[in-house]
Amino acid sequence: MKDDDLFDLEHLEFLEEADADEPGFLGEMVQGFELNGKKFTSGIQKGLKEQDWEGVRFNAHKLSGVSGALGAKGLLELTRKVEENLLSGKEFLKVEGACLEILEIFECSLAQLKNKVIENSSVL
Amino acid sequence: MTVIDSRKLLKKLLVRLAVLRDDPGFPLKLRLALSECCEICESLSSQGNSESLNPQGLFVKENQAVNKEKLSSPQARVLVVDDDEDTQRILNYTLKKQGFEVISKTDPLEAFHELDEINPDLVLLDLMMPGMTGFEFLSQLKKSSKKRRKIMVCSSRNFQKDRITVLERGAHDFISKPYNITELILKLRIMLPQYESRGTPLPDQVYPRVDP
Repeated sequence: MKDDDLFDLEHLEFLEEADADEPGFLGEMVQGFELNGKKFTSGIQKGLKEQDWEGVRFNAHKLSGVSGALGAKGLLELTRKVEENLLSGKEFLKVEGACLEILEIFECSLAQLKNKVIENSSVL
Repeated sequence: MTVIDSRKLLKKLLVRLAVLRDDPGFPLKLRLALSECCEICESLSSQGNSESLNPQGLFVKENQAVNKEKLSSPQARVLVVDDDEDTQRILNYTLKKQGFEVISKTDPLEAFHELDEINPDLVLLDLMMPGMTGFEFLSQLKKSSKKRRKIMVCSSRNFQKDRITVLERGAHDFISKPYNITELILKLRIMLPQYESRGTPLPDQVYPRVDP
């Protein structure tokens, strides 16, 4: 998947500028994204397994916040869709499919962010 | 056209110009529409402050006219209440860059109890937080004897119903995550008009361009 499918490039640019200004900034952001993202994706998986829709909704909401901070728009859109569907109390079947997609997009976004950190740290 | 003493001119035009560049020893050139500054120039020239003529417009020879008095004025203190550390980090960076003093709390209960002690000019409040939601924070504040604060809710939970609820419970504004940084800063400045920014200038559409 390409950068512009997954990320708001303007936001990424802002993060890279912040990193140039305060070295380590982007690395710390990505660490937080990895740590919290894993926690919330696990929460979604657990909720799906137990059919705990409120748990799925809560974790999807938290993951949308984490995605927003990193400009991960692909993940943000999916998590919002899940949250909206669950709040409206319908389309549970669609939610299940979207949740599986969330896990895949999270891994993809994380990998690309880690590459960005490596690229940035190699720039002198 | 008259070129006048930079200090006097900046004192008249003030802050926004003063914050755009603070680079000692670097000449600061200000290009202004005649209609906007004619009156100021005339008033200053008549006070005997004119120096020389410049066909390009007003040319301020040095930027030491940065208003020291304004720079020593207090910063607006913003309390950020959000359990997401990445959001905290990015808000911290952005707001400090814009000249705000930032206090971050990831625990909303702690933020609530320490509110009077922290004494913020504005609270940026997330909605969905463990321990105490932003909705509860607002309701508790309304019921309590604590001083009323300017509150902007900042949440990815962007439903009309929620936006109305927070306003009903005493919030002054709502911005949805992911927020546009320019929009956030503009909203903060509108809510805190007594404080002028001393940070990085916003894009051209916000402030008129000043050529270095």
